[in-house]
Amino acid sequence: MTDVAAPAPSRRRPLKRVLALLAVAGPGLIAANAGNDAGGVLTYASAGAQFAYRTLFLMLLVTVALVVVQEMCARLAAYTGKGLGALIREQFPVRASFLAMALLFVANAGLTVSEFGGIGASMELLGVSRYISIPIALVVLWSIMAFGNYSRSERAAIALSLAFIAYPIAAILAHPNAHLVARDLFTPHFVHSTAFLVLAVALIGTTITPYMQFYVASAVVDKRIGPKQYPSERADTINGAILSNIVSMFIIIATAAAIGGSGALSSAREAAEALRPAVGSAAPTLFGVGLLGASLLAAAVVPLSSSYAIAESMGVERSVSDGIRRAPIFYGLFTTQLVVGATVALAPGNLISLVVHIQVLNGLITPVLLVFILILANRKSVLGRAANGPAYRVLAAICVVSIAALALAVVVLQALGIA
Amino acid sequence: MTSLALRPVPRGVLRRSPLRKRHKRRLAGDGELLSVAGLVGSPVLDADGRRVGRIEDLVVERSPDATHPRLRGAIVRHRRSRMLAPAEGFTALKADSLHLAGELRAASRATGAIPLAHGVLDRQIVDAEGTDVTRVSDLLLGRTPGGIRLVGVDVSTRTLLRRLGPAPLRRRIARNRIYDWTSVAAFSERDDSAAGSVLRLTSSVADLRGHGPADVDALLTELPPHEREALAGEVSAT
Repeated sequence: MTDVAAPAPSRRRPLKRVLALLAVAGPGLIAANAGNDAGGVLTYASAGAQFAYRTLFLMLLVTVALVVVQEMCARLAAYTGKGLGALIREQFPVRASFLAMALLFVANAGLTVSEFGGIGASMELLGVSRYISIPIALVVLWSIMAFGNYSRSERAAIALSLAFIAYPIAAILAHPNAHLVARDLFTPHFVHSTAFLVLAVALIGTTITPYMQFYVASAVVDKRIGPKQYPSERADTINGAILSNIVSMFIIIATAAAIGGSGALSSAREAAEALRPAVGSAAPTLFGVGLLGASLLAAAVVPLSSSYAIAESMGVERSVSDGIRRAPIFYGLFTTQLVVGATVALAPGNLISLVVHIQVLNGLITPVLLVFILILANRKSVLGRAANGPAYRVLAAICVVSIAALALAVVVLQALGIA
Repeated sequence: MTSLALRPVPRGVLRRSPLRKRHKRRLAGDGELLSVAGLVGSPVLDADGRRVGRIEDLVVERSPDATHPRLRGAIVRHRRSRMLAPAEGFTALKADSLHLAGELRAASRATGAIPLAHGVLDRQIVDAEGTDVTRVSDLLLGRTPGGIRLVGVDVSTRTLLRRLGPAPLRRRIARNRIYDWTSVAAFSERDDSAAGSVLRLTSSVADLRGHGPADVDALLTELPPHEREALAGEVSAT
């Protein structure tokens, strides 16, 4: 940069930094930030609306678990040069690996529904009926994958989702009760109600999502990051996980400050109210733009990650640059998930509650897949010296067991007809 | 990714369909092929017909000159320990059981031996240029005059699905999509069961170019349709 030009851009520098950060963003950062997708944003907003700041302490624990899980996946990929789909196929009996892939497919197909739901909800905020916007989005997304430039489109979607930077600003401008926030963030507590339990599982399901684990592993493999480059990749993964959850917590705080305690959300317009302190009457539009970007990005990334993992476990070619004829299985899986997602999202009903329920389903599937990841990362025959050490084993096992226990509790309550 | 020792490319590689016939001809009276995926988990019986354990893996010899590696023995799960049943002690290896005359030995991680179920089954197959082709759905053992040998690699999706089913289904041999083992340069320099190892076909698009059109045609007829198209496209593009 020249001296002459220096003074003028200095005011824009923070934005430039953010853009530069995004430009060099590693797989870990992108994977974790893609976690703030339609399902994520709406679930965090629901948490804020329903229980104000009470879920913050849980989010703190979830952040620790997310860091542990994402790090294990990135490490597995860097040290073996293989994605999770391949490792599960090679290291587990064929039935177990079939189960894992089937669960991933179900979880991601469900998630794709919620991303299309997000597209529909966001376009309704911008004044377009979802019966128009969802079919168009389906065609556009599929065409980009089949014929277009994926990485440029990815950047465009990330740029749109930057609208959510408004959340931290809104959270501060809404003057949340700092004392309450600090108390609920740092003192261990749990609200004794089934609604809270279900929401807790949804929060875990949307934060520690199977597709993020599979995505970070395949991205590390694709970028040919090996053991030598792993330390910087590790930092990227951990920072990404923490940063993403900080944004998530700001969504909860902003929504809690604006409409906390008002009960479950019934529309995206209510969720958008949280941005009003920051941008005033532009809140619905800004929320709509952010939600659209996040949903579009995830509607592509989520089905991609399961198609990639399943194609990898079958050992066939898989790449967005391969073309349909060279990678028919990959494209077949991708198309199926996209079509199922768009079709279900078009069904009439309350999109927000559908999206939150899908996060619960993800919350149930997540612990099963985490067990696979944990076993792989513990195995010396897979990772050699990079396998989990004793302390890490205990920490990771505690994370997986607690997530599984919460999910199991919800299943039992649902079965008893309580939740 | 593991680096692999590539052997010279034999002419007319990737022979699939003639495999069964050839071995039947060579082995008068006993030409059946055995499925490794079907054998794993099958009972091991001693000379009196008592069950002593179950097959956990089958081990072949790593011998660079032999085209079809010879079976060294079976790893047997005997109570809680892993034992080796050497191939010399087999009285009969059937599709669903192993009959032994000899004793079980303590299993050691012998050098120069390759565990088939843990080191080769379900591994990625790439062509010589590194393109992912498929994975190993099953491995086939055949009886030759020199003993039981690893003769074929089954890559069919149908076999993969069959392995999800009950044991009798698992033991069935696919009738198509079997590669002759000689078309695979399988063994990596380091530990074969390492997580990074892959199987490499000895042929590649580059090799095909040197062969001339007749060989290309011969190879292409052996490949499944979508791979055939991809290969034909790449060869004609150069």
